[in-house]
Amino acid sequence: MATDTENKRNFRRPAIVLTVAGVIIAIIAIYAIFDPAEGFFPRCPVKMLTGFDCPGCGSQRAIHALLHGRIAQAWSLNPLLLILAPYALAVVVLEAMPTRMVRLRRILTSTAAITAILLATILWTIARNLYNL
Amino acid sequence: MDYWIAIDKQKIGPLSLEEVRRRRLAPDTLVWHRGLPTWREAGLLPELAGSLSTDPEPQAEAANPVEPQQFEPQTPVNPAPPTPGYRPAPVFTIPSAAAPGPQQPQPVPEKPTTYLGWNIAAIILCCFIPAIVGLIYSLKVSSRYDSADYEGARRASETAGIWLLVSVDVGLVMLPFQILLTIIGN
Repeated sequence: MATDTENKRNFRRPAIVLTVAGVIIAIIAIYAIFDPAEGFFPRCPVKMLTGFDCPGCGSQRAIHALLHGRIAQAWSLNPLLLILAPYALAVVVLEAMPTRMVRLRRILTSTAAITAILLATILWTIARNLYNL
Repeated sequence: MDYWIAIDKQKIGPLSLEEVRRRRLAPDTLVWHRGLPTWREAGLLPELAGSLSTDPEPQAEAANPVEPQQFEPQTPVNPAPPTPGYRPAPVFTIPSAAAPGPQQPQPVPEKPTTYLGWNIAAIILCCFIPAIVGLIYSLKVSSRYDSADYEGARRASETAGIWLLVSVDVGLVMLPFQILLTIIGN
């Protein structure tokens, strides 16, 4: 009994995955070609309004530096990006296929791990503004 | 809620929970309903506990084979009078209820999606204010799951997903304004 809604559901998931993958590849290409320090790139509204750095400030320039192999420069722009990006990618992939590598997924999404990430983000944001990091 | 089941590589559905229970699935039959990220084995779904082919046949069904429609698994009190050989029907409990049924232990459901990865990405890349809220709900999914509050963990997972969507929407709405401000600033 293949109803219309059922067929739609079958096609929706791969369509979402392909769309997200396409958008991510396009964004990576833009950040590889253009330098976010100049030109048309979006500015952080928090930085513009308050003058404070948010936890994500520097990410665009850091991605550009990373894509050109300048890891030290990327680290100085936003170390949180370098630490958490591989972690976030691993969690996204593992949660997309919940039957595979269950133990690793449990460790990465454990209460202790999420608490540590939350605290690290908050402390880093305070520290970078206090000490101009 | 509509359920789908997979038997001999054929999807069957939509079925109500009642219909799924009445089919007495094998514990390894794959089942899906809205809200589940993937198909799950019937044995892992708490709402199907006690209705699987490996569980004892409920007495009410055996005693009244002519009226299976009237069998209400959610009702703990069996209205049928005790007959010789009468066994009380299994008591069904919802997962959040404190006392589990005496007949079968509740199977532990899979940990719900925490959306941790996407919320981290939203913090680093776009809009940390809604994304931090999302991350706090990711934390709640994990801590509630640890304390065996599976229903609470599922609800926290839904809320974490909603906050992730808020982050994405905020980011998309702000993007043209941010680019405009950059151009003006230059």
